Amino acid sequence: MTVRVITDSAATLPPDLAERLGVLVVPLRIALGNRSLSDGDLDVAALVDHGPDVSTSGPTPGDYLAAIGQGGEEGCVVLTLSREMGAGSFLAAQAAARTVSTPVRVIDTECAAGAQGLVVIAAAHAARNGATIGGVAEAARPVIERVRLVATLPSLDHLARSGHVPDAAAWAARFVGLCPVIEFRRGRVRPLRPAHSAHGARRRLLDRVAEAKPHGTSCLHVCALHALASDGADDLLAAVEAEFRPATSFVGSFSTAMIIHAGPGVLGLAWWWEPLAT
Amino acid sequence: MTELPTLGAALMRRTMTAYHDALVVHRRRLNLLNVYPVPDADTGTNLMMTMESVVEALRASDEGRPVGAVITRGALLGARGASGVILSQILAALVARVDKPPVNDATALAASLNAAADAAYEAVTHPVEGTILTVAQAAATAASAAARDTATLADVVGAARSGAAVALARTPDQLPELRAAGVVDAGGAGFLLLLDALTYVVTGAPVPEPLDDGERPLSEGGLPQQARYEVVVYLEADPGAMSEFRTAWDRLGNSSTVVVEAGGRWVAHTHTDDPDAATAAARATGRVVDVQITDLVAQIGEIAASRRTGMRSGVVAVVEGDGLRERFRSRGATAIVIGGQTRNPSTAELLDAVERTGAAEVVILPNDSTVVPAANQVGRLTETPVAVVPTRTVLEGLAALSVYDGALDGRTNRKAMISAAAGVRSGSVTRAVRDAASAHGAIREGDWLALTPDTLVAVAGTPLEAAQRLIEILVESTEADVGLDAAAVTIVAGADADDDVVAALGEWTGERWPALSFQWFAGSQLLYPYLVGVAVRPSSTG
Repeated sequence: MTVRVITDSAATLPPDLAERLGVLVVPLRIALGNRSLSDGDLDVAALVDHGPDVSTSGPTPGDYLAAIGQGGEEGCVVLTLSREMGAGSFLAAQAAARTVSTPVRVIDTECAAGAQGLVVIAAAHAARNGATIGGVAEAARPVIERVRLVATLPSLDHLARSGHVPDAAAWAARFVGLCPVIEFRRGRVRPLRPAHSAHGARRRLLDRVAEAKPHGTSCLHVCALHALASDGADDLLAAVEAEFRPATSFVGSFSTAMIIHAGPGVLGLAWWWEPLAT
Repeated sequence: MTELPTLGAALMRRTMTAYHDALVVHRRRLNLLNVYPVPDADTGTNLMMTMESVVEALRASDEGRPVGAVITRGALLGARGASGVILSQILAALVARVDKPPVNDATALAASLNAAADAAYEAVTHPVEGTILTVAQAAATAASAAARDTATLADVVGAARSGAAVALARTPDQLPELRAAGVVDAGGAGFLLLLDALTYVVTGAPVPEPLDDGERPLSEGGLPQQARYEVVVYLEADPGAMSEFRTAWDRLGNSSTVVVEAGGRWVAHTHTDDPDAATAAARATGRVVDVQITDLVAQIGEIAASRRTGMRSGVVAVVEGDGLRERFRSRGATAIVIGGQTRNPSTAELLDAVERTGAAEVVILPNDSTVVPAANQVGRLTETPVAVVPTRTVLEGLAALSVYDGALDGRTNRKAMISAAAGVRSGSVTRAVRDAASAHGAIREGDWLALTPDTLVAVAGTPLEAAQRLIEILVESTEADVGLDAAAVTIVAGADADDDVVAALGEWTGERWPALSFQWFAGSQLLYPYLVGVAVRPSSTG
């Protein structure tokens, strides 16, 4: 393998999967008051109820430089968290790339969590098959275009507080006790029509996957994503596997930094349908 | 007299430390300013942590190492967040030549500030004006202009600082998000602080303290203060009375008052923060034929919101009272028309609001039975498809809004919104303004009345009693229909509401129906001190 694929911890790739694919994962950063910590150095239990003085940001250019330093002989492809979600990852990777002589391509995945993970997996497969930097980027492109992420969460308050959904949805959920459903696509969180129960929300997720299936032969790549809701994610993935027999499937557990953003209890699916040549 | 410092490694090293210290003090203020591009309130934290890395690098570096390289590397390695990365590029350009003694300090600093501004623009993929980029560019331009006339470092720093401060004050004119939130750009404010630190090192003038008089400081350069409301009044009045009227409006408005005679009527226009006083002055002058009040700040927010979301459909809501207007706006209403029980908006005002949304389809929430007819007319007057959800109270309106989905078409939304509105029983408490007879006995002026959209339901001697009676009736009807498992009582406190009454209602409700949750918020509506809603969870599943 000669091109190294690098991503950030927003991609929620399970460590063993990342290792198998040869992907380097650069941790996001967490600020706790005046302290700066690496995502993963901090137990989430200590954080969920922490006061308001917690914030997250992308990795620093220094973090990316360290990863690039372990890079492949032919260079690196860095796949970052959506710039709309937090420009830090993308800008930091670019700043790092400008200071090294190794060829580095920085790509905004325009998504996060399991969706970002699926983009990274496609790129990593290409790199393992000996693709050039351009080839790895080519492999990521169609996934960035097709990948969808729909999730349900107990409350949109955390997302609203971190500035990523209109406050409207947070309130809506409280007022009538509905389950908010959101779609995250092309860098934006968009509230969908809420479901009336957790069960209904789960059914809605599976329906969305089915609706999105293109005509013709295709196979599914899917991630069940969750923030501190692993049982729900396991069940959801089992349901998807039974219904759609995906080619790729994994559970993507949110890192501490991601939980700060989205709040605990997020449960959703990220997926893309890959058309198979006929 | 002490010798003036010269531009060089020592000066930059001290500036970095001073800037870091200033950021520690100003971090929270900058966080609170942070609304663009994402209101995640971390600009101050990110800048501070970036500078921490710089200061740490300087502390750890050997005597002999070039300071410029140490600062550049420290900033790059530790740059946190988008603002930190941009700052790292600015610093790298600013200190690029600091280890070579300049021929002329003043011109060298101006050149470095220009290089820094260029680096800031290059750091981002899509430069946006009204941000740190604009402020850095203004500082550079002002520095260049000053460097031509003078040779002292202090003059160039001072000019750069003034240029940056003016540009910072103007950022709300460039970014609607800032304007709507009433703040200047956080990154730009962080850059101004860098110049404050530089000023301190060059001249000894201390870095200004953060403002502590509120969470949303305006820049010291002063945000252009514009009155919030545009008021237009059509008036029939004696010409002799008009000069007094004009004086009254001039006092209320910010010198933007225009009064013209047209077709035997007066048309008066002003910008003011007190639309009620403006309307009252008009009433005192003659017969008011029509009043149009537009909330200019909200309008900017609406435009910004529609630009951000690019929604298919929009919502126009008829609301009065600051708190209620704010609530509808933050809950997703695209445009607000001021009005309600006390002032019915015209079809023309509704039409104007519908067209202002720019949405492909629009849902109207009249929020009052008497506004529904005007709302129903709007669809005939515009090409934009209009769906009216005939909400009779603001609480029905809020319930309807809670299921609105901007990505769906107007018809689908209308169906869901009507059903959500039907899930709320609501009413109001107000005070009788004259004696009258009613099905509940004689009403005396000053009695408290409990009303539902359909009818008068109770007359009482105190507001607490009237509100309790109203809640009982609303809860009973809810209980009969769907049960109380998931119901909530909401009180909207009006401008004349008594906090003690609201608190007493909360306690009373909790004791009487432990299963019910109770919430209240300040609506600031006039004439109806208490609006009451009992909302239920839709009974369907899935």
